[in-house]
Amino acid sequence: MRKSRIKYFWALIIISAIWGSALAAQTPVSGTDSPAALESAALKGGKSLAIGTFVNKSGNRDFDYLETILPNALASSLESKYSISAIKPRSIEELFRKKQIEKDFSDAELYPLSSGIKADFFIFGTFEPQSGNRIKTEINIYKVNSSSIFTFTDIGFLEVEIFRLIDRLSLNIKNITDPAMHYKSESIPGNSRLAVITNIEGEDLNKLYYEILTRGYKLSSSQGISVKNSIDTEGIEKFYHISSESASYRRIYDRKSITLLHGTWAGGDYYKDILNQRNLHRKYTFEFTDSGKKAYKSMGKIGPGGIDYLMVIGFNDSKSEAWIRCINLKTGNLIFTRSGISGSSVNEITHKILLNISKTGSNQS
Amino acid sequence: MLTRNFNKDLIVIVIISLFLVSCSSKKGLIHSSSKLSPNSKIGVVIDAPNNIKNAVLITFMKQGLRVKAFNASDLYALSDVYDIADLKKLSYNIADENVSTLSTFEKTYDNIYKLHVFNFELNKAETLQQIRNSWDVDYLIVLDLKDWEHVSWARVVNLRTLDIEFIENYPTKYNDNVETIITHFAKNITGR
Repeated sequence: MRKSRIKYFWALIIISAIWGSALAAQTPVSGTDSPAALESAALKGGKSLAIGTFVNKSGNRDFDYLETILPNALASSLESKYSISAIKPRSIEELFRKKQIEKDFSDAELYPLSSGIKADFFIFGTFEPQSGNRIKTEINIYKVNSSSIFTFTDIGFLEVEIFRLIDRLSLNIKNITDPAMHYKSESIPGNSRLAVITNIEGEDLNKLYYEILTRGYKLSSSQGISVKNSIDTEGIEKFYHISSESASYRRIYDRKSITLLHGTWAGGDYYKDILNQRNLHRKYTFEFTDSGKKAYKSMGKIGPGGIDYLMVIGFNDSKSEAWIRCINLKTGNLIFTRSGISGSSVNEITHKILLNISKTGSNQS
Repeated sequence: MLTRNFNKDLIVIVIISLFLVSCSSKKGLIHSSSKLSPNSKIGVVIDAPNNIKNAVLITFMKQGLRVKAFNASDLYALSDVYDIADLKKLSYNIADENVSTLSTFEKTYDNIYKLHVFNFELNKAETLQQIRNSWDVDYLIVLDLKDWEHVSWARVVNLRTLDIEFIENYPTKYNDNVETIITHFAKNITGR
C-alpha cells in the first residue's frame, strides 16, 4: 500500500513537471527584464574611437577655440567615464593633411579615408552658437570601412554648463557605437497615440498590439486592418536606415558617382529620360529629408486626434530578434533607435522595446 | 498485479497529459478598450469562401450586431497602389552602372519604397473614412479563422477614431466550428 502511494507520488511529480514546463513556456513576459543586459557585454568590448575635427559653422572667429576644446574634451570624457580609448584629433588632422582633405569634408570622402583611421569608429561634427548662450552641436558617427553614418544634434549651454553637454554627448556616442545602436532623445508619454509599421502579421501582430494596448497607449489601426501584411523582412529592412532633421542613420552616397551623360548625339527621348532620373535622385536621395518630413507630417494627421509617434519594428524571420526606429510625427524627429533586441516571443521583444522607450531620462539604456 | 495496473494507469495519465498540453500549447490573449453596444453597425473583413463568409455574418447578426453590406476578403494590398513606374526606370538604368554608384541607387530605391509605404497608410486611412461615411459603418471587424491546433484571431477598429479597440488570439479547440468561434468573438467584443 505504501509502495503504491510512493508510485502515485512519483506519477504526480511527472505530471506536474509536464504541466509545469508547458505553463512555463506560456508564461507572459514579466516586467523585470533589464534592457541594459542587452548591451552590457558589448560595453567592455574594447572598441576604439577616433575623434576628428569639429567645425565652427557660425563664421564668428570668436568661437574658433571650441574647435580644439570640444573634440579633446569628448576624447577625455569617453576615456575617463567609459574606458573607451579615443584617438585624439591631432592624429586625424595629420591624416587629413597627408590626404589633402579639408576639415569641412563631404560624406563621400569618408570611405577612402577609412584605411588611414586605426579605430572602429570615426567621430566628427560641427557646432554653431545660438542665442541665449546656447550651442548647437551636430555629431557624426561613422563606422570605419562601412557605408553607414549616424548623426544626431544636441543643444546645450556654453561656459559653466559645457561639461554637462560633453557628458551628454559622450554618453550618446558610447550608446550609439554599441552593437545595440541605442539612441534616445525623448520618452513616449503614456496615453500617446502610436502607429506601427512592421513585417509580422496575424496572431503575431496581435501579440505586438497587445503589449502596446495593455501599457495604456492608443493604437492607430494602420496595418491592423489587413488580414495579410504586404511588408516582408526584405521590405522592412529598407527602414533600417532612416532620416530626420535632428537625427538620422543614413547611407553614405556620392552625388558625383551619378553620371548622366548627354551631348549633341542625344535625342529628345533620351533627354526626357535623363531628366526623369535626375528628378528621381533629387527627390528620393539628395533632398529626401524634405520629402520624408512631408511624409511624417501627413502621417501625423491620420485620424481625428492625429498620430503622435510612428514605430518601425523589424523582426527577423524566426521572430527571435528585432530592431526599432521611432519618429515623433509632431516634430518629425527620429527619437529612438535600438537593434538586436532578442526574446523568446513577439510579446517579450515588444515588452522590452516599450520598457525602454517609455522610460524617462535621456538616452539611459 | 497491482503494480502492472498502476503502470498502465501511469502511462495513460502521462499520455493524456501530453495530449492536453499539446492541445493548449498555443496561448490566447485578449484586450478590449471598449465594448460594442447592441445595434452597432459593423463591417467584416475576412479572407474565406462565400459560404464561410455567410456563416460568419449570420452569427454576428444573431448576436444583435447590425452587419452592413460591406464585405471584403482584405482591404487592398500595398502592391495594388504601389506605383512601380519609378522603380522600373531605376532598375532599367542601374544595369549599366558600376558598383561605386550602387549605394546611391540603393538609397534612392529604398526611399521610394518608404514613401510608398507612408502613402499607402494615408490611402488606407482615407478608405476607412469613406467606409464610415458612405456605408455608415461604425466598426470594422478583421478576422482570420484557423483550424484546431492553430490560432484564430480578431481585431476591431473604431472607424470614428481609426483606433484598434479590441484584439483577441483564440486557440481553436478540437470541437470548434465557424459558428462557435464567431460566437466566442462576438461575446467578447460586445461583452454580452
